[in-house]
Amino acid sequence: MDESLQEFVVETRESLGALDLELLRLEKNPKDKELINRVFRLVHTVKGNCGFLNLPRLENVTHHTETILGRYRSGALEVTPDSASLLLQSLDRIKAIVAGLAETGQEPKGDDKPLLALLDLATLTATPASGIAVLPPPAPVEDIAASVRLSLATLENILSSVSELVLTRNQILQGAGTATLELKAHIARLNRAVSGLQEDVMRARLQPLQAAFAKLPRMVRDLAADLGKKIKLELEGEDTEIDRQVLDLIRDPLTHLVRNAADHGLEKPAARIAAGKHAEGRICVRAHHEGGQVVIIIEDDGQGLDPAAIGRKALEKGIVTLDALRGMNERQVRQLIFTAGFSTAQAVTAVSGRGVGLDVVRANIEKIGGTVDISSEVGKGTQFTLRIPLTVAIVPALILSVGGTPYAIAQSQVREVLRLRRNGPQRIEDVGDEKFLRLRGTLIPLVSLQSALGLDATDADTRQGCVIILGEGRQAYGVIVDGVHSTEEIVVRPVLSLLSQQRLYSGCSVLGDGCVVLILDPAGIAAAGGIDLARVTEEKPQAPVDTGPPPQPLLLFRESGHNYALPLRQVWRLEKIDMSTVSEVGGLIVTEYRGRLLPLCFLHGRPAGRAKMLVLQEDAVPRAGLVIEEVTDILSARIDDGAGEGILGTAVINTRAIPVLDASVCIQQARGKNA
Amino acid sequence: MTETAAKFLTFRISGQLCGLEIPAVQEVGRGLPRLTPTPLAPPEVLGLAYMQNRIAAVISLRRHFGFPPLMTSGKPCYILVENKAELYALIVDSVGEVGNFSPAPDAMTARLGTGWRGAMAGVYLAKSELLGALDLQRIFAGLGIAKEHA
Repeated sequence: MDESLQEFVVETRESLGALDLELLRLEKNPKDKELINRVFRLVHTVKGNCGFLNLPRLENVTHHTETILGRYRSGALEVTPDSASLLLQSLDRIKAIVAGLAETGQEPKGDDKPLLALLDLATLTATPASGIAVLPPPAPVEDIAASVRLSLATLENILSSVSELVLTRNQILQGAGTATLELKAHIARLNRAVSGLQEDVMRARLQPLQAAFAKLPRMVRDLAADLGKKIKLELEGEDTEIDRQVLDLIRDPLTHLVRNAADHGLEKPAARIAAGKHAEGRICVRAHHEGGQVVIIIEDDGQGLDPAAIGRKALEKGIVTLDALRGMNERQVRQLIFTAGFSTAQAVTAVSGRGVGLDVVRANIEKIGGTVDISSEVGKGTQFTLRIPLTVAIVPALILSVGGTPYAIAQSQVREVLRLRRNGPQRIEDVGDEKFLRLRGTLIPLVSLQSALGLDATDADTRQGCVIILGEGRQAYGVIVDGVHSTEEIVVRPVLSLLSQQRLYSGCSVLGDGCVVLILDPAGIAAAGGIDLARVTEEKPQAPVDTGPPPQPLLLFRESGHNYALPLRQVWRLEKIDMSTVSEVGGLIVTEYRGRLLPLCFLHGRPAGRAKMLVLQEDAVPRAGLVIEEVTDILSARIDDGAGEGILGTAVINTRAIPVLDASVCIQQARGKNA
Repeated sequence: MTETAAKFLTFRISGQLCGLEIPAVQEVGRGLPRLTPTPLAPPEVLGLAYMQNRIAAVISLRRHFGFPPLMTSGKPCYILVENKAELYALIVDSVGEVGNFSPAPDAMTARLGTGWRGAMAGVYLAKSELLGALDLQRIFAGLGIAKEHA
């Protein structure tokens, strides 16, 4: 049994001994508040530990017990002899599970549903039904799992060993230049093995989102009761897998958004009927994979976010000035709800008014490299879209430098890197005190990393540095740095606590050469540079609502002189490829990629020498490589239906129609289905 | 702070003899590690370094106590300590020996000087001078990491 579990068993047994006595005392003095508080705290501690150790059964029983105790504590329910014996029963169940844990190191199998149902019933009714002492014996559950149970601690240890291995591999690769040919071959094999291992471990850490979804139905039911609303919760895509660590980090934001939808989004039944809607409100939480990310959509069919109301509120709270507000479009006004200190509720309710605002939700999501977006229609409902990276522990990062010091930034957050040249196409323009970059007709606000870091600015912007474009679409902003050096897979370690107050850093890591780097947090840079992401102004107001399909991010590239586009979400990575290293296997042309064979697809025959390869993905897995000349741009455009085999349609870019390829067709071609 | 004799690693900061109780010390070494600067951190934080396969914060005790940097050509030394599962390399002028020291009588502690006395967890008797036992928690508190961070 692992150490933390052992510790838990010992501690819990101690608490349970105390709990027994307290409960018996409680039965005699049902009104003793202090006693109820003590019992509540004991159960709460046990429950808290369950979560860390992944003991779902124990967690469930303690959670329900805690809920009913919470009602006693708040005075909503009174302790009766019946309910006391029910509490003792759940205590016995907790003891039995802990005893099983002590024996086998695993939770024993069993069915807690009848007990939980009774607890729930007792929670809901003021005087629980009598005769609850009789419970059917728990039915044995068949064990059909064809898998091995692995303690989380073991998995974490494996991951940290693999992380060290990745680091060492990187160090070896850097020194490989001077190695003998034989040694180089060994290093190449090591490299492949480590990459494969890394991927496998990352996959082993994936867990279905279910763990984060499981608590929602219960919460929504409680909320509906508390708020006097009728709410139907629909969950979809619970089996979508995500890294365990990321899962833990999105649990709170997700809960918060659902709570927010129930509390602020949905109207009371009377108001809904008056608005011609069904009395029962609907909250829908859907998850799916998209381009190496997990997308979670939280949607309600409530009153929607009224820009006018938000604007008024923001003015009242002093979050925005009247002038700034006048210059905003609806979308930007809606983004104001993510500002610290904002709350749209007319009255602070017990449900949402906990001092935790949507700004915290956004900060937490962005901390792990994700994004939050809102769309809403007044009277129809609101939709929050979270985009979250699959894993965070090892990420491809861009290494840049400022003042001679390297820094890292997660590549998933970088939209584009531009090199500034004197008289180059990209120029910096001064608008008042602020600097902007004119990029494809749009003004993008700039932040100097040097000044954001509080370093002496030595005219950083006039030097021939680089601009890193961060942020999506109209919220894009540029960060001026001295130079961009390389990309490296880095192991993300938590930022040391003495730096944790600095929003600029989201973590740290060690580079291949043993140098420590700080990982920059884009939101922190924006804040330090005085860029309010909700307030970034746009040049051209959005055109009135169009009936066509929404624009989507496209990657433009050139091959043999022709221009093509691919939906960005179908592209995994851009890699260099040396055509002399590809080989033919079973009639397919393949290259080695991350320890596996990747079939290649060619649009205009096989080139010679060095080229580039777009790694195409399906279901977040690299499936094939598309050999191209070069990437020319990444932008958002609308795809219009267009006839043609293997083509999704055409996109009109700078008045030219460019065919948008369908990655799945390329993948099929690479796999010889059509070759 | 214990009033009985205790075992200390001794070192000097700007001439003052200081000590750290042995169990707190993880490693001692000479010279500065390779540093990555940490803009926006408190001034006594010289930077981050990769030590013992972990990332350590490098803290100058001279700066912490408000002394100018070490001017002599002598190489400074580092003492690795751990706090809340994080590693800290404390930079001192020189490291002495390990020894047992008895607490100094109250009447003598005043000789340490107010600045030092306030920063120490205790005052002990060395051969011909006083040894100040470093109060690590106070140093960490000065870095703003005493409270649990969110």
